[in-house]
Amino acid sequence: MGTRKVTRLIVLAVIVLAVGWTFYSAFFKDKTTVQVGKPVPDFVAQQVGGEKVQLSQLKGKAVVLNFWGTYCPPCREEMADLNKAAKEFADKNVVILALNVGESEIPVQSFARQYKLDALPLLMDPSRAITRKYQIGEMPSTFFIKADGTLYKHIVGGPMSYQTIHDNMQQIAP
Amino acid sequence: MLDNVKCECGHSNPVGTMLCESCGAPLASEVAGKKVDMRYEGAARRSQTYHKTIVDRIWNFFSSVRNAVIMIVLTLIASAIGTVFPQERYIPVPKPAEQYYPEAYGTLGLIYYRLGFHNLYSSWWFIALMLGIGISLVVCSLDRVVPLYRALKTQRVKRDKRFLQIQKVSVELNAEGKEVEQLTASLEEALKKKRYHVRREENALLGEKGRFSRWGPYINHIGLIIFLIGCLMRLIPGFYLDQYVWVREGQTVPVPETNYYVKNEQFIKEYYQDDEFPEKLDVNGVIVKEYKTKAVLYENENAEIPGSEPKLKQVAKHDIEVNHPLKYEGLLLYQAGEQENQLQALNLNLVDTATKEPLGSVKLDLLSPPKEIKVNDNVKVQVLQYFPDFALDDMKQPITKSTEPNNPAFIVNTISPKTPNGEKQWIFLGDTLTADGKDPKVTYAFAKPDLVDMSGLMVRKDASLPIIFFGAGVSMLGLVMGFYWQHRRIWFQVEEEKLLVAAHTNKNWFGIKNEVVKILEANGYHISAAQLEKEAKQS
Amino acid sequence: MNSLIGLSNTMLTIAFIFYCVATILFFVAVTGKSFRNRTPEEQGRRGRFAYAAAVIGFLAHAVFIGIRWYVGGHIPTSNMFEFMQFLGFAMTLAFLGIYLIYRIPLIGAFVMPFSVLIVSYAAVFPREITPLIPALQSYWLQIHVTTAALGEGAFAVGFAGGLMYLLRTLDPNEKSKSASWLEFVMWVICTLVAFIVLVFSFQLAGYQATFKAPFQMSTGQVVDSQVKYHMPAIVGPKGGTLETTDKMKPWFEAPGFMKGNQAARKFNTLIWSVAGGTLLYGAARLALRRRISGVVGRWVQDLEPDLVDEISYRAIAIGFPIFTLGALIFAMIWAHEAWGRFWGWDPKEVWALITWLFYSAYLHLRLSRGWQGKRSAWMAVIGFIIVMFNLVFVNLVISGLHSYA
Repeated sequence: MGTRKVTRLIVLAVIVLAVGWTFYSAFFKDKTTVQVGKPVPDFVAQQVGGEKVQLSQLKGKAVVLNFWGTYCPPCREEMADLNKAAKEFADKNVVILALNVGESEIPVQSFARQYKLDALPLLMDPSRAITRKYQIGEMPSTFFIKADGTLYKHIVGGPMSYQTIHDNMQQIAP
Repeated sequence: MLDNVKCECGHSNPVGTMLCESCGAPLASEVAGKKVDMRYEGAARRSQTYHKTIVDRIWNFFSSVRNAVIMIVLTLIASAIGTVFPQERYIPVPKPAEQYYPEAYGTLGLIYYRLGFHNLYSSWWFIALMLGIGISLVVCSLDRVVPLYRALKTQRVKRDKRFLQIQKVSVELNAEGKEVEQLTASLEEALKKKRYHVRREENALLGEKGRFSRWGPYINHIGLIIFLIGCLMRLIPGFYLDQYVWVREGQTVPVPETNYYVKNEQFIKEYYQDDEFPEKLDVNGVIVKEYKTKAVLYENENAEIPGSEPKLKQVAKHDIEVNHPLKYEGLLLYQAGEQENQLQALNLNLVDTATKEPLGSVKLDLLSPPKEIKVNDNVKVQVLQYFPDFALDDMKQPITKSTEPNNPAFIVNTISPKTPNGEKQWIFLGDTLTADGKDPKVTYAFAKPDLVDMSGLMVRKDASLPIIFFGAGVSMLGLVMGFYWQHRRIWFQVEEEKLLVAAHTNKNWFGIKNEVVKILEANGYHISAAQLEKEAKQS
Repeated sequence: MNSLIGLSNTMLTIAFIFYCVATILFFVAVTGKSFRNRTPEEQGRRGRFAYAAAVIGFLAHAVFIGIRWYVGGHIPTSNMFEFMQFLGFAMTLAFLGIYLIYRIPLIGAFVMPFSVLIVSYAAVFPREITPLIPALQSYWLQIHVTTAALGEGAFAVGFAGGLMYLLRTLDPNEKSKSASWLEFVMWVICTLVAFIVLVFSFQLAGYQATFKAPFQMSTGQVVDSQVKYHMPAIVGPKGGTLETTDKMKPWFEAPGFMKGNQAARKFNTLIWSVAGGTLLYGAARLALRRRISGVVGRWVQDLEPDLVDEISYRAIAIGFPIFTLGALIFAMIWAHEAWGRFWGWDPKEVWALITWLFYSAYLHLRLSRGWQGKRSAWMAVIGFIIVMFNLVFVNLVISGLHSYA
């Protein structure tokens, strides 16, 4: 009789575990590759009119990684502010990288000229490899990354106000 | 609590056993007030004997067929509800769900959406129902198969008289004056002729066949459990992939969520011709015979850091057709969609407006346009701006809506002998425009653009598929075992000048009664099938 | 030129005629003045004639299928016409098999009419032989569709058995709920018959009315489209105008929530069927002066209820594994080969699952909970109604009312 009770208990326990794991996996587990406090994925991208930039090479500096496109109106709207912030934090070891998603250089260069983005490094991701890795959905999508390479904050949507940009950059500044 | 109940014949039975496992005698203490049925040989089922603890109660809940049927019916009804309006993934227009349902179906649609029915099959309660059925499968089967197996294994040939009498087919015939040994041997022979496996103990015979069919339902349930486990395994990372890519002819694109790239070498769409059939069907060029994408699969050996230059190694090559996907190491690419004649590049001829003299031609690629084109020694075209999907925003400013070349527009600067300082023009699809609206000095004339076909490939990975289909196969095996064969047993016992006859089957009493009738006839007893049954059936 | 096609169509007509003959002969075998006085042997003889007629029809049908297979280059199960005629074929086959085990002519009187009905229903669909589109170019077409049809054929026999049991054991004059529901089933059958007869007749008469109606495409654009009606329009498409002005004008317009180009036309067919069925039912009631189930019930009085119950169960028990194999397992394998996902929860698949779950509940209730007799018979009847629902309603109405193409 003891064995029967134990058997039942074991069977039910196994079932409960399986069910629990199922529900956890299906509904609760966080499947994102980029999470606050965790290191962000490394990447390499061509800068318009410049060299290739690799994120891990920027260790020691805080990075604001902004995913944008000329086809995205709120992205366009916040570009001027991002450029202004880049100037302000130039000597404070905080870098803003504006990563263009899926376009060719002509529209990006034209856009930079038009909006006078003289202080903002524009990086290209024409094949969207980096965009996919970061699981970008809605744009603009901005990652505030600390100097040690971990994510401080992720802001989806925009345009961000200058205040928002400034305050977050202040937080991640080393 | 007592461990076991001892029967008169000496055999020790688990608590709750109603008929002795060995001789079949009703165990008085257990049978009192209960109807004895032969479904599990009168064996003790766990759920019927232990009700005390919470573990027992949960067990009993899931081992009940009534509850299982309720869950089946609930699943059935829920599934039907999901077909009233199309599920979210089948919405036919590119509108978001919260807009579509109330728009298309009014209040009912809104309620449907609010209740989450548009994603019914992945909702938590539907999954809970299926899990409930899964748990019930496990518990129901365990609860029954173990005692049944024990009972069928330990059964003796010679049974208590009372056991034979309570059988559904049971009759007592006169054996006066008959030679016992001869009668028994003759009956044994008759049973063997009907392909029964016969065991004998003194003057008792047990003919049995098809016992394996009793395990049918349990094997079926095991199969279903394996099937469900296979479905659950999809949640394991890396086991399941569900993506889609569009590839133009000549283009190589990355396969999302993998390190693979796929190239579309050519897309072919072929139609049936009348001469392919023995008789005229009148289908020339109307019905599609085949969609085919000649595809090459590459693996990116430099996939560590996204954005780095891919180093592609070819790993597979296949003509992908419907029903014939490309298969490579668990990755599957299916021919799913096609769009023919997509704009790839604009071809323009430059003409001196005044003299009509041709100056050269340019090709403007719509996916990666060149910044500058040297037409010849005298003529140069600079591409200043490019809008793949041209539109005017609220303030009438030119923007692009997306990165797809749906409505390409260029601003070009032409440097030629007649325009040494450059001449800026807009180039749209089939139209050009100068800044001041006047005729340009260099006219762009449109030639036939480059068109390519585009294949839509579905990307799939389903590592748990073998398990899922294995489960389905086992389930089928169980169904066939259980439904196309029956477990039949016939008992003959000669004692005190009487021939006791009894029979049991789990299905198809019609058949076994006929067999008993035939066997008895061969031994001089004429009795009809109807007379074999003891009690009148209730409707 | 088209001799083979013509020959095949002739064979189908022959099959149809012999199915009708078999139906009539089965009826004669079990009804008639001296029914009760006939010996079982005499019944058996007449039953054998009827069986022979069914077999001839079946063989002609098989020839039809064979010729069509050869000419078209594929098994004839690729569209509504082909599948429906094959289902009729499968029902007949299932019946011929079950009859060999139990030899009761009365089963023929219930199953053969359904074969006739299903084949007639097939005839309303366009029947040109068309080659297979790429998605259907697979050997799974043979395997999946035929096996599923066979399973459904067996369920049809189970349905017939269940119906016979209820007619035998329910007293129609009693004011019980069961008796009322049985009468309702009779009405449903009248509606089905009316539907098939109406569609068939109007098509024979070549009736056609054309409407011009606004239609919203998948891009959101609204265009004018042409909607062809094959029955006089009681309900017309919303915002539509009748182009063939000599045909009947609609009495009212389809409500707005019915989406899709063909929704109003299908609604119209539905209205005709229900009205026709009710009329047919009403006429029968008036003529017979009592409930239909009462009249039909008299034919089955000599049946042994337990035997009919057993036949009904047996047919379903035989058909269930076949149906599982064909409609679920083969379907899943093929779906995986063609579309990359073995199960997508689309309406057709969901209703196949519902059918499977329902019959599974039937079997559990019967075998484990002792649900025999009446309760089992009702489930057998409902189960097959679900099968027909899947074939008729889901194929035509649900996707029609909810599709934009």
